[in-house]
Amino acid sequence: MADDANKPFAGLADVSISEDIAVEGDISVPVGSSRVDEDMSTLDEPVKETVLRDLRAVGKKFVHVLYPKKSSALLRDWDLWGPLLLCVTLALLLQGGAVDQGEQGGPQFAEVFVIVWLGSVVITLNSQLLGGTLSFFQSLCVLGYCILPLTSSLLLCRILLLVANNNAVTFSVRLLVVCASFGWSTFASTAFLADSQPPNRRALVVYPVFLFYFVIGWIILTFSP
Amino acid sequence: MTIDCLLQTCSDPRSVTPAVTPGLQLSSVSLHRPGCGDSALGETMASPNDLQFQEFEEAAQLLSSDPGASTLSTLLSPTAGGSSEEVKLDLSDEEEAAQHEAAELLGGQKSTGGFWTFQFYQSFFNVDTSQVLDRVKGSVMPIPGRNFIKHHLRSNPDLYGPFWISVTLAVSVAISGNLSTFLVQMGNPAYHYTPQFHRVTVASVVIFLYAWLVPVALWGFLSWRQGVERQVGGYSFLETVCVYGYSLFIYIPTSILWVIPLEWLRWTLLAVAMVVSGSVLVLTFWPVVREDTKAMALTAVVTIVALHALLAVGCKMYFFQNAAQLSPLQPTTAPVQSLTGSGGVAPDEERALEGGDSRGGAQRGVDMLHRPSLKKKFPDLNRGVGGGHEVESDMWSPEAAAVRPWEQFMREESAGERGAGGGLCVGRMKMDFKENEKGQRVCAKRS
Repeated sequence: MADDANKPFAGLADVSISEDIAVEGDISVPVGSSRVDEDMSTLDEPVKETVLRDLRAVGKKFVHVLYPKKSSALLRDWDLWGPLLLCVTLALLLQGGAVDQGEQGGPQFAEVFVIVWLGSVVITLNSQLLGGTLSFFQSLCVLGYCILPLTSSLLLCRILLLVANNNAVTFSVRLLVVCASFGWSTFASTAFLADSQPPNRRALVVYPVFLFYFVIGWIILTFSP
Repeated sequence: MTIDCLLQTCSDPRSVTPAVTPGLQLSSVSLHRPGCGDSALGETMASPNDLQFQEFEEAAQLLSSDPGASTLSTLLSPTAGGSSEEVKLDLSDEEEAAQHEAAELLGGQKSTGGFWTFQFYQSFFNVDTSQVLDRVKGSVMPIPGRNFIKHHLRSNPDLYGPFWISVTLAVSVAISGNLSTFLVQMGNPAYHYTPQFHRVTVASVVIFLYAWLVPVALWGFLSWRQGVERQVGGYSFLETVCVYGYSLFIYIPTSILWVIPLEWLRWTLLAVAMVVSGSVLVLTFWPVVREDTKAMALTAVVTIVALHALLAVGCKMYFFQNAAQLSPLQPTTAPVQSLTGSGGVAPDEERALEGGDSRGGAQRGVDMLHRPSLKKKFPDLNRGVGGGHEVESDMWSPEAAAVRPWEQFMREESAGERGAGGGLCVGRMKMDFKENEKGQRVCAKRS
């Protein structure tokens, strides 16, 4: 019986309870639970408090994206506010392209939305089909938050184009900035997503993410007001 | 092998799935599903390898001691006699319960659940990075005698490759096309760079249609030609889609190299790419088609190659136009005044307007109205009208009639004649000058 030692409570094999000892006890719910419920009720707090709490959560996740370490905050408390804010900012900043060119100008507002959200959904489905363990919304959350470096690079590019003319020097500066932010985005999302994949399929999951941020970076780079 | 048994959705968590290494003969693999009765077991007894039965006894013992696990038996070689190792994995029900056996043994019959379940689609993505890279390499270097499907796919077609190769190709063609247009027009001051995003849509639609509809048509055609016996030498739908998808891979580096604006280089690259990917397709489908009549075989092969060539040439012509095809955007040297008395029309616009000779003067005038270049090039069009003050709305006043270019066009068309009522005779509206009873020239509808 070698596996007796492996069984739990192995040392209690010889303990027995005699029949005349009454087994009694008390099962009751701790009294303090209702107090805990009152603390969690957020119905009576001022609206500013509610909004600020969500904003603080979003801000905390931004910090996690900017300094990507192996933290699980992004995955554990996922939310889609951050991706929505970033998508709206991206779409707004990409407006104002060459107006008189008609449909050959920059992307419309809705096109940016479609590209970002549809791209995220497709990549999430891809990683799930390949056997990933992240849930659908966690994946969307990570991909959305990691657009932050690209959005900030778009802001920088627009400021640069406001200040200076669109010549070769500014183009090379913009190219550098967009490349750096694209690399940062891909690295950040890989740091969050890669752990959830089986090890022999990591490259298969990372490549579509690379393609997604490459397309967004291309849209940012070719934008000229 | 009882196919019905394998296709049952046996939701037994204790299913035993043997993994088959490539190269094993089909006859030596035995399969045992506990929930499917003894028929499968009876057939495995026909295998000459008695030790396989013993191995499943061990597996059964392991399962009885720990019902939560599934055992994965790897058969290294059928003749080595029992040199098999067992790997005990904790597999969840949903993940890899039945996809291995169906995938490995029934080339193409992968439906492990209904098509509404997630597992059904997950079975199409059962590939590793190394496998995908191997398949890509096989599509780029076709060796005669090596059938892509038999050699590389090995009864495990996937949808990852075709889908992402199509997406990458659409993106690369659109971006490279945009870059090449920019490079061609770089010295042209009249050219304003536009990202041309609608091209991405066009590219993706065309490529996806090719990569998914043509295999459907080809598979339908092949199935029809072979009648009922589809298993013998025929390819399943997934394998056809897979071959087509992977054969498109060579166009990705080709499209990136097409940015170089040398015409002979582009045609050379196009020829090379067509030869490589066309030969992959031909080598794959020739053994199947060969058994048919000569005429049908040749037709099929020629159609495959022709469609492939059409895609490549079409992409090149639409996305990568060279300098000659982009010539209408020639720069105007100076605002041309009174060229043939037409009051300052830019040469390219005039050429475009002349080209539409069949259209009436009113159409031309309307076209002139919508030229944004007009306002930019001739901002002082109103100078000298009404005392030299600049009022844009004066363009419509009778005093400005002398400089309104569209009216000048209409005047040109009617040879400077006006009807008695002062109106303009516009040929497009089927009106013409006629003598009325008073002998005056008036505009009237053509009889």
